[in-house]
Order: sequence, then structure tokens, then C-alpha cells
Amino acid sequence: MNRKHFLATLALGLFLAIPSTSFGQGKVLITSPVDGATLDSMDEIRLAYEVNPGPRGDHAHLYVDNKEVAILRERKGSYLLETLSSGKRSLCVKIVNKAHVPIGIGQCIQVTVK
Amino acid sequence: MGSENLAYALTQVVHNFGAAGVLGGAIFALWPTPRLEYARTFAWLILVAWGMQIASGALFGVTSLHYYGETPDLSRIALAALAVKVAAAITGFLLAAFYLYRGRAWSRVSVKRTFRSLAALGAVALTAAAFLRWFS
Repeated sequence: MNRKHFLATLALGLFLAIPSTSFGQGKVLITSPVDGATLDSMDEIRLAYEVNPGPRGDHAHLYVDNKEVAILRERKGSYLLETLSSGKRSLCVKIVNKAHVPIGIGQCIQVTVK
Repeated sequence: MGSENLAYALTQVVHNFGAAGVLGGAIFALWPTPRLEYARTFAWLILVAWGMQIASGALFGVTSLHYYGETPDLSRIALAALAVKVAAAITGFLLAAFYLYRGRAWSRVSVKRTFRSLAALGAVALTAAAFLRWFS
């Protein structure tokens, strides 16, 4: 392998090896319900959110108790949750990339369902 | 971001050509007219294409692990689609390999049946891929 080929291969290798987690930011805001809210299981529970996927994100996933329940493709909207059983529940919205991998940006809230 | 997208894109290139090979190879062995005299060549193409599908599919996961430390989050439907796709890929790879290993002695009818099965497995995998993509 001559020098030019070696340098080109090295450059490509370094380029591919740099994780991109430090580039750019996105943001998730769960506007309703508020963190710590107490909800009535007989009421319609709708989660409202705003998402800015940033340069690395594509869309968002919604999780109830760490289980994915919906794909959120709109930047701003709401999602009607299926009946939640009583107790403390964790609601999370996480930005994911095109491969559906969470990129480390999201918001989680805790609610109590009675 | 550039390196991440490049890694996913290059993996997708291999995956797409693999998909074209598994279905195209089986279809063109049979249609518009059977070309069973080239069946072994088509079988090699299909074997390599399934290998590309399996390797690039795994590479998608490895790429995600490398950049984010986790694999994609899949819904129940997407997980089922992935299971179907993996099963089709493994079956297709093994069937093509088995034909290459033992197929010389097979009758024309058996060879045709093998390629029909390979085409069906390719179609199943491509259909499952669509569900995997949009139900994740």
C-alpha cells in the first residue's frame, strides 16, 4: 500500500470512528400532563408534546413504563393514551434517529393514575 | 453526524443490493422463461445476496451500538416483522446452500420448486422489511 492509499484509508477510518454524539442538540417537551400529576383512570388521558429532533434525530417514540406505545412523527401534537392501570406510571418521549435508535434526548415524567 | 449517516448509508447500500439479489436472482431463474441451465449461477448469486442481507442487517445493529450504545427500539409489530425477516433470510441462505451442495442430482421439477421457494422467501423478507421500517 503506498503512502496516499494509507493516508486515505486512515482518514476514512478516523472519520467513521468518531461518534457523533457531541454534534447538535434537539429538545423534547411534554406539555401535558405535568410531572407528578395525579390522573383519573376513567378520564381520557392525552399526552401533549413538542419535539425538535435536532440534526441527529428524525422522529420520536412514546413510552409508557419503558414500553414503546407510539411513534410520534409530528413536531408538535398530542397522543391519546390507552387506559392506564392504577399506580405510578412513567411517560417518556425520546427522539430517535432514522434507524429508530434513541439518540439520548428526551423527557420523562412520572404520573400517578387513580 | 456525517460519519454516522455514511455508516448507515453504506450498510443500506449492501442491504438493498442484497434484497435485489435474493428476489431478482430467484425470479430471473424462472421468468420470463426458465433458465435452469444457469441454476447454479443463480443459486450462488442468491446465496451471496442472502449473506449480504444477514451481514448488513447485523451491521445496522452494530452501527447503532457504536454510535449510541443501544440497538433500535422496535414496537411489537416491528419485532414480529424482524423475526419473519430473519427466519426468511436464514431459510433462504440454507436452501440456496443446500441446493449448491446437493442440487446437481435433483430433477428439473425439484429445481424449479427450489427457486419458487427462494422467490417466495425473498418476497416475504421484502414485505416484512416494509413493516419493520414503518412500524418501528
